[in-house]
Amino acid sequence: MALTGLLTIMGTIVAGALLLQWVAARARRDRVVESQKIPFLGGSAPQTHAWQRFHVRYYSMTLLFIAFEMEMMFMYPWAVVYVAEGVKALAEMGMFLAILTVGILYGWREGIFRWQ
Amino acid sequence: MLERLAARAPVPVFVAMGRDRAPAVERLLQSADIDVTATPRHASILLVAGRVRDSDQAYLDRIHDQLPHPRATFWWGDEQGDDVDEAQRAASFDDPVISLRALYRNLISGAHASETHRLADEPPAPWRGKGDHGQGGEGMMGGVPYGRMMPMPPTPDIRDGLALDVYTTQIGPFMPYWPAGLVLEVTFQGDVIQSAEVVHPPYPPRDVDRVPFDRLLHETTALAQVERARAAHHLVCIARVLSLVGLPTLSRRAQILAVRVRANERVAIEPLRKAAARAGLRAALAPGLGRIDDRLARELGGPAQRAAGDAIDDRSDNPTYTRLDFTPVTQTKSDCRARLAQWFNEAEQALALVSAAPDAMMDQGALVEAPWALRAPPIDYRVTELLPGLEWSEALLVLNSFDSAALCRMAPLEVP
Repeated sequence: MALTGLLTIMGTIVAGALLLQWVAARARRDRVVESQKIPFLGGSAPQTHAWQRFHVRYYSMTLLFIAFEMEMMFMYPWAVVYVAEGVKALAEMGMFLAILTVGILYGWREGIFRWQ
Repeated sequence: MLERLAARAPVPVFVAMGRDRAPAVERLLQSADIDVTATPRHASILLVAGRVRDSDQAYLDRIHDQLPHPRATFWWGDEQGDDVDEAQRAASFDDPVISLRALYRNLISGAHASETHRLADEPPAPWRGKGDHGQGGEGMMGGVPYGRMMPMPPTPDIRDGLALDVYTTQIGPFMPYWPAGLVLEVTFQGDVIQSAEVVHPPYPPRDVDRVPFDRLLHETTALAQVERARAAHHLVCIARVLSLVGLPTLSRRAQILAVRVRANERVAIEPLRKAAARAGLRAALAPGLGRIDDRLARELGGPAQRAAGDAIDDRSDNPTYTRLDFTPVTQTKSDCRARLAQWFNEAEQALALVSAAPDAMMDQGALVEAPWALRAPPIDYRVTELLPGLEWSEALLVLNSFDSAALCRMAPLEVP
């Protein structure tokens, strides 16, 4: 019984989707031509296909951001444990931060803090 | 009912600025009946203002094809569109708003058929993969997707050693905030311009701006007329920058001031300047952006030279001006800020000269500097040398901090 209900719902959805597509196709007066699919460049056309790769400059900044996100995520539970553990927890967190600092130094050397 | 309501909305128009466009084009763009769109995708009517070079016809056709249906072209100028319907053209001295509105109404109702596409319906850069649907290639993500290696930059990246691909594309000639007619081939590395080449030079300044200066060559002309033309020219340049930095209301004010100056009305520029300063205009223009060296400033002449600190102005040697104690105003920094301030100062000074000597006449052939120096030879410096290292928004600001004559001289001259 449940299966019949499920199938009915799915059938209705598929039929509805096909109907909408058919209506949309009928309503469209003219089909989309290639010129309408390319980006607007003031009248010029792109010389390469849209799948050409190019440099996303913010990626290194993003990596750094994620690294520090994770650091903060570990610091919340650490703050709770620190009360009980004392200096030992502080030393452990110090080591963790020291490792992350190497990441910063690496990023620094790679020039990710240079804003163009 | 819906169609009638839709037809009452502002007419969405994309404007392709040609050469010798009507002086009223700026006013039209400010009209409440017209909604000037930033891209053709949101427009119903392609307004071609002025003449378009033959070489730009394909660009115009592509923009035309990018308009969604229903669409129509409207020609505004004297020499074009003679073969098209009366409803789709206006002479340069006409106000086309009524015609545009009627055309839009007919487009919406279906009385005017939507125009079909003009360019061949084929992709400009086809994907030549191997699969049934053009997909694939060799390697991950189709590492050799075009049947050739992906283009890589010729030099290793200086910043992080990742030599990812540069992106090269042509931009122009018909875009908002873009020198009309200019086509650049720009190579981006990320969001930074790595290099640029001029493909087509910009259109020369409009004839209408030159009228009083040309007249002075042949007959006695009023100083007021010349100086009003100068102030209006500078105000239009200022309006462009204001609009570009996101101050459309102030830009509109500057445009209206330019129209009023041309109509011989008394106007004050100082309130506009103060309002722009309050709105944070200086913050929008980074100090040092678009700085040019003294040699280029000297070769450019005009406001760009005076913005670099050289008090050189042909008017200094004109007796009509010396009687009015004319001294050129200057700036020192020679960057975008300085050139904008120079336009403000010179426009104010021009109007002050008009107030000081409303009836002064100048003899035929008197030496007066035009707001540009078009007949000066082209200079050995390309506008493209100013762009590398800038982000796109900065590049647009730098381009718009020069008047069209200066841009023309920094780009190779047009072959007629």
